[in-house]
Amino acid sequence: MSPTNLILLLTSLVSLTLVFQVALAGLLFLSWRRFKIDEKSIRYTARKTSKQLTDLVIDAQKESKDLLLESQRAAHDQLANLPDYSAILEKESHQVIQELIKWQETELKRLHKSWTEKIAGATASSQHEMEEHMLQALDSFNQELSLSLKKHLELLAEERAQLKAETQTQLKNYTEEQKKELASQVEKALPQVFKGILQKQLSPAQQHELVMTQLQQAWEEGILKV
Amino acid sequence: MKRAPALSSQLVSNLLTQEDRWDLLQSLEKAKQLLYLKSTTSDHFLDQLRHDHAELLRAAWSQLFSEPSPSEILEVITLIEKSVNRLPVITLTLTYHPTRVQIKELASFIRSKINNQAILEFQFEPNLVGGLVVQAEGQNIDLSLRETLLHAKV
Repeated sequence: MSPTNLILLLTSLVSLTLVFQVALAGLLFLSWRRFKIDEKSIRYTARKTSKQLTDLVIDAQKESKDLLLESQRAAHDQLANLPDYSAILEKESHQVIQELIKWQETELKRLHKSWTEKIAGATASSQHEMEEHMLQALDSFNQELSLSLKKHLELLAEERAQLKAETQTQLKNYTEEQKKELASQVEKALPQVFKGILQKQLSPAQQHELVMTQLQQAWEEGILKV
Repeated sequence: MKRAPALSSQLVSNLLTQEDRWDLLQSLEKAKQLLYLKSTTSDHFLDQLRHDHAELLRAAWSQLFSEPSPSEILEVITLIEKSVNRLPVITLTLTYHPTRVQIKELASFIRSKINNQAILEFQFEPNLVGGLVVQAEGQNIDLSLRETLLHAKV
């Protein structure tokens, strides 16, 4: 082999080696880039899933809050429709007083008439004495009636207070029961609400993705140590 | 029986779920019956088993014995039965029915993080809303969305 050929051969070999090295570097760069892209894609998917879930939870919370408010409104309406005992009592006591006054007037007229007849039939000497008796009787009647009215009003006041207390207890109990009922209704309804929302929006593949994300998260938080 | 651990590891990699375990145990029982009936060292009786199970058995005794006798084959089958029955079970309750690919992914995660020999049992409970419940060794880890949301203040 001539020296020229030898030089040519060596030059070719060196060139080939260089080309091979450049190609190798290129391949390494491409695989690194691919790895970076995959990593980015995984992070992007994770962020997207996380955001999607957050949105779902916010939607579900809003929906459940609306449900709660609606139930509370329904309970409030029911409370508002309870009978107003105070108003009934006021009406009843007014009627009783009116009847008493009426009876008082009638009774006074009857007494006055009776006494007037007695006085008219009496002698002049005894008329003055009889008038005194009549005035005393009317006074006594008025006093008795006043006492009776007072007593009646006191009874009414007692009854009113009792009814008020009963109503308040009833309202209080009703609210507690209503609260329990509400809590139970909301508790039963929540999974259905969330389930509906999730099933509408998450395919089985996405549900699986969610499971894998939760397993990974639980593992990182140290919850998944059996 | 020097290579028993290798056999166990091969078994675990093939079994992912409780169903896989029951299938293999049934095949082993059938293999034993056939072996008793024919009392032969020929492995033709394996043709009556599921292909992957037959391959597993064939590989198992070729690893342990060069020319196994019927009693040695039975010994291998008993060894496999014991190994299979010892595998711990982890129950996963999900809101969907996982595909075989998804089962492999779940098994790979559970084995790499919790127990490298665990086999999975699946239960379906759509009321969990999302996520899963993991049951293992008497522990119940509720990672479901229902649990999260019911304990969150609305």
